[in-house]
Amino acid sequence: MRLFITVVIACIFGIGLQAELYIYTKKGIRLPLEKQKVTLYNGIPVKKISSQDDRVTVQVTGFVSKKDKNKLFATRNLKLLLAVATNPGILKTKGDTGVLEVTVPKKSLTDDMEEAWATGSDLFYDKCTKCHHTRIVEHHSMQDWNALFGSMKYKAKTTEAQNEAILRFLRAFAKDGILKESE
Amino acid sequence: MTTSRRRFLQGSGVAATAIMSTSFASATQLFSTVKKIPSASHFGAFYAYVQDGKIIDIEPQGKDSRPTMMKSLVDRNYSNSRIKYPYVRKSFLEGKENNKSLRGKEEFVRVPWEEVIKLVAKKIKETPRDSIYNGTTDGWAHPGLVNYCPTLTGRFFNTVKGGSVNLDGDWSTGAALRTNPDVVGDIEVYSLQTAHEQILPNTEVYVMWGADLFKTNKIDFAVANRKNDEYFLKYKKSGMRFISIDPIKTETAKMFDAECIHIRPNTDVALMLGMMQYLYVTKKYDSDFIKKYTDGFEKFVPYLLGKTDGTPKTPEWAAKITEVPASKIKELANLFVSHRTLIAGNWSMQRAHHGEQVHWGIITLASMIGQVGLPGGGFAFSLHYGGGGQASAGKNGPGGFSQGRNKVKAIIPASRLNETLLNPGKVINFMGEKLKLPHIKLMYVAGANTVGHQQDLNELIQGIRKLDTLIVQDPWWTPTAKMADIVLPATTILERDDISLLSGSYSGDRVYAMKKIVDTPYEAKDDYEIYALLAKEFGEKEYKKFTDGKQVMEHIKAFYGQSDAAKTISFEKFWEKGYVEYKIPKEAYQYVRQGDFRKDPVKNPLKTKSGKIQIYSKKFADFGYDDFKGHVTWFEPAEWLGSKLVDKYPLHLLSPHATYRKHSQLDNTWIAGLYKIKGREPMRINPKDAKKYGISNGDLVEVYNDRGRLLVGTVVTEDIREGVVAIEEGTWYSPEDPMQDGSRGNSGQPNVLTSSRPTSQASQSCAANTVLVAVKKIKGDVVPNQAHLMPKVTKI
Repeated sequence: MRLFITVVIACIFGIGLQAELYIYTKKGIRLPLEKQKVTLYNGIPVKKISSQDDRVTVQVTGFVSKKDKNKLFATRNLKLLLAVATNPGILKTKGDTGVLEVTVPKKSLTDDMEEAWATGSDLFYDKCTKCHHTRIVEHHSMQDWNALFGSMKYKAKTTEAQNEAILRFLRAFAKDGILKESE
Repeated sequence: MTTSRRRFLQGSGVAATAIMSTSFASATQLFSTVKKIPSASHFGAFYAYVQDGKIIDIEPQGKDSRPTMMKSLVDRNYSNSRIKYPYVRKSFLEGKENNKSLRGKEEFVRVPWEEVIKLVAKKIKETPRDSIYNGTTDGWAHPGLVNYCPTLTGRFFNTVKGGSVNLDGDWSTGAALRTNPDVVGDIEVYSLQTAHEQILPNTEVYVMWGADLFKTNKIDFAVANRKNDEYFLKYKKSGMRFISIDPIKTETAKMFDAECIHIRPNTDVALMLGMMQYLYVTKKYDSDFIKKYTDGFEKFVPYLLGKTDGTPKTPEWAAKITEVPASKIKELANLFVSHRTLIAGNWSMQRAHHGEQVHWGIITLASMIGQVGLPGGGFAFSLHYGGGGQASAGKNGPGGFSQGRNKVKAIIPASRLNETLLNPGKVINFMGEKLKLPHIKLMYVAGANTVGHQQDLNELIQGIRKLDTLIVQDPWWTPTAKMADIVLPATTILERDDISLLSGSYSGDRVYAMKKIVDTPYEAKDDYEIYALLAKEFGEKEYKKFTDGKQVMEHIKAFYGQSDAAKTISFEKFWEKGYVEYKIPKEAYQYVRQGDFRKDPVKNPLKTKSGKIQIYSKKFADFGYDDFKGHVTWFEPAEWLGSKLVDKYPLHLLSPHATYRKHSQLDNTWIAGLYKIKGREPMRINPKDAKKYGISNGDLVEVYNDRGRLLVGTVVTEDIREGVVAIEEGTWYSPEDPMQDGSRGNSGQPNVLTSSRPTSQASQSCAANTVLVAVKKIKGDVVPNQAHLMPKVTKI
């Protein structure tokens, strides 16, 4: 049973995407798809297109920058990376929007948003609540979190990998992010 | 870890007194073992000497020239103001209809622990989580990680209720916390500062803009190490020029023979603007720095020149507001741009009406001076705090409890607590959005003193009397405990085992064992144990989640195990010795704040919208507020020496950080006797004002305005400018007549007079330093200050 309601803020930017599944990497925050020359990021919402045996074809939609058409971001502010595609043509763009279709192992998908984001979420609620009260993630924008987490990380003594996981969680669930934490 | 009684006596006057008072003791008693036990506090690390189960003295660990405050920890432990047993307010216990209005007015009934725990759990179970206010929020009762009250309280409520209402910001730095991230990409107020080793050889002009380095570095959020005292001696000999911009001649200004610019309170932004306008029109500002490292200067300049409001912000304009002569404003501007200048701002300036402007103003001025990111130049907002300027060891300290997720999204901006209690559901502006104030029914305060640190105490008390339940957990009968319905006695830091935060706050070079020194002589319990007992009332699952299935010493070992120290030194060795010290790496002494940004702003951008310093912020401008704009702006404060209100209330009241307290801590000890006048907090006043109002040194006077009245003792001194009085924050509130609402404050707690008015609609932070008052000499007898007396209690 899905425990959480997913709200896709991308709708307000003109992309109607109802996430069915989330990329779930048990280790690290990247899912490299070497043959397709694509890297997907943990926790990102994807739409199932089709499936065969233990493989599922999914669609990822987002925004691209003018400078780098290989990267797909969750929002127009280009602060939350969804995917990096080095295979020419796989990332189809129209204006500043982009769509990517890739096939991923079934085991790399989950319908449980909390499970998908557990690494960053657990680290944030563990490392960033020891000295001050628990901050409400959606009270701050992605930009705010960059500055706030940047200010405090030296006190939290987090590693680079932990920083990346925490910041991705904060950006995804920020005021202007793409997801909302459960009630 | 013991020492013989004879050896100890050689160096201890305190012990010598003890021996005289036990002249009839037997030889066995006389020569009984004195234990030397290490521990640590916000006032520094220490060794406690214990004989026959009682603490007889405390001495600092290592070199510490100022251990006075920690010495009073002994007195505090045995104070008559200790909460010895659990208590419940009488009519609350009896469930009487009108019981809320009797808070702070009636006796308490002693109740067994088993009963009181069940009562507290029942009240919490009955109350929805979004109606519970965690009043412990950012209190800093002590630096131990196991019994750290803010974390424990948050962990408890997040575990058993899924959360509680928290505060937004804090009482120290609220305005800066909400503006600096957008302006300079960092909160700055709690961030690592440029190392002393970079300031000492490079800074030519050190501007203490309100900062009182020597006074406020006495204590620490972690464990004070007071190494800054040694650096300050080097500063004095360094040859750098010190300028203090402050209505008060501070301890530090005196120590450094600083030139004192006694500015009118709350007018600092006008002074900054006057300097900036002068630098702009004379083209003396660093235009290259502005182009390369800042964003939005062109939107600020029209305001500076008066093109947007018809008022050029000239030095002459600034002089009328600040009462700093225009010639001096120009002189300062010329001095700053021609010498390596470090502007050390403080926090109290932003605890004022429109306090959001102050740090932004200093950042903008420093940008025009063009030395941001250079060794010994630019701006700093934390050199006065936590050993700011000390190089960082950069190591991992012990772990600590996490609080987990709080599912309650409602928050209360720090200035709005009174209003929340009095007007629940009210919608206010807040950082560009609408915020609905929650309906608080239960307030839980552990190791914090709300009826002290909150502005406008008479208003707060009205609000508190609307709550359904107020629970206070503390070792002492603080003013907040006296207002409570349920009072839970907590142990002191001397009565429990713990492990310290990485100390000091910035050097992070030590981990301390905080060993239990003595058993509590009362029924007090550790904060951790109290919450564990409460969690158990909610179920086994909640108890296990809260405790992780561990006992206190297991937690201490586990926390230590997460530190870098554990890689080389066993827990047993650490616990035996009492501390572990990390070596500071050489490169840490080279640290320059914003140094990387200065070297390469493209590779190392700030975490702002543009990656540069935001002299203009579209985000802020888009809020559309009339009291907070898109660039630094002078706003006339609601109360200041330039306002019409001075006809009625002619003096500006400041409430700076306490010299001999950590906020309210140690007010109930012998150290208070060193500075209190007739049992009340001292008020500094200029001789001209004293003469005008017919008051003399040592007089008891009433200070008053429309919000309240209080009694203080007078200190007539040239150290404060004419028209300004100062009463230090933190003394325990005590009404002259507790039965009378709005009774005159009898201890000198200045928040009886401060306003709950927010800084602005943006951050809604506290504005304690925007207050006008009048004074009058007291005639006749007054009731003694009863702040440190316990209330009337009865046993069932």
